[in-house]
Amino acid sequence: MSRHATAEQLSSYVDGELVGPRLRLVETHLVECQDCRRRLDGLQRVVAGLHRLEPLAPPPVLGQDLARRVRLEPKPRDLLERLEEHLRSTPLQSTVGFTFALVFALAVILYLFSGWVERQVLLHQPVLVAPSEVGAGAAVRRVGPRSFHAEDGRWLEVGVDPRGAAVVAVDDGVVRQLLVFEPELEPLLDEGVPVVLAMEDPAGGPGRVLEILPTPPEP
Amino acid sequence: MEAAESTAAALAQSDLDLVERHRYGDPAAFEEVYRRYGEMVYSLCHRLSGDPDLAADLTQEAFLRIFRHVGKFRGGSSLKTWVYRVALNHCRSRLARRRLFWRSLAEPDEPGPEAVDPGRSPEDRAIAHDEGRRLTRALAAVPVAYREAVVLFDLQGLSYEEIARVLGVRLGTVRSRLARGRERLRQILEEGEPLAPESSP
Ligand SMILES: [Zn+2]
Repeated sequence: MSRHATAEQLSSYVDGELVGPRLRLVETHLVECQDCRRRLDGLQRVVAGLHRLEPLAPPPVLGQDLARRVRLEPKPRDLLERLEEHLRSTPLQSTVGFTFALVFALAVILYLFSGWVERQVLLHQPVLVAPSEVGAGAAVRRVGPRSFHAEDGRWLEVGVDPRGAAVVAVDDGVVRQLLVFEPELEPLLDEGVPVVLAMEDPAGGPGRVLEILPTPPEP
Repeated sequence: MEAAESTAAALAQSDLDLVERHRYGDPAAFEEVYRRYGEMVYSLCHRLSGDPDLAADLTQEAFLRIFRHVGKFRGGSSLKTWVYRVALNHCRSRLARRRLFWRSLAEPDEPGPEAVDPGRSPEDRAIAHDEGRRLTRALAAVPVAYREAVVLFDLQGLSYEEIARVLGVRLGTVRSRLARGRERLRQILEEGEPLAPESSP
């Protein structure tokens, strides 16, 4: 094997997961490559260090606090029992009325909930990207269909009011470089998941979003 | 092999019994769930958030969710996997909101108290404590998706298959996230002082 071992090969090797030709391939390379031996050594230290970390004990009051809060919760069976009692003690006519009321209430809740979910999706997905080494000699950079230029250490979108603009770290227009500055994006882009960046509006407005598609894998 | 299968079957049955008792309002059943999984969930929340106080909040909130929803557990997976999934989803949604704040320069918080092993000398404990702090700090700088895999595999001792079920991803994804997380840790730690070699006592 002329190429260096991948992180995944070394990690699997450490776990004893490699067998047969895949194991021999890595072992043969390790014999001839000092670089990979050094990486393997570092990896083994990391894994051994992780295994030496002792489990963290929860503070003793946590269990007591939880017990107190749980006592305030409705008992799991109460609701069912109450519903059963209600149905048993109610004549048919009002049961029909009750059912209609229940269906109506559920519809209203469902409607409100779908709006809430929409808002949550926007609230949970966005990630703010830290400013990077912008400035020196930077010209206009492109991310997807959008252009950004550097100004006062920030990337501002061309033609967009800077008060509502994003602080985006882009290097040579290669989206992958964003990852250096916002670690949460990297796994998503590695797995080919499109990423949405939240643009904070300093004036307190609703902000905007910028969608970033993963860069296609190298051929 | 047969013994292992019957142990797994007995565990699954005891999971279902526990949930059934909870469903019928036996308070001891939920106490048992906390006794079994409280430390595991706290440890997970702590390693994912890097903050002992936040971890205590996250643990308590996760267990309230477990209290409210465990009645719906039908034994499709093990109760342990189900508890992990609830706790992990809770951490994700709470921590995602925190990520909206600027944090590239923020130092991760100090790790909390570790369970004390009486069999180790004070010197060993001091070295382990220092190493633990550096690893904890480095872990906080690893992307969340990779950190989850490393925490679940190397710290919580779950198998690839269990992690795949908890995260709802394929085995290959677990393997690659774990590898990337470890690789990132190695890179971060190599920029500082090297860790003790693997064979150190
Ligand atoms: Zn090599």
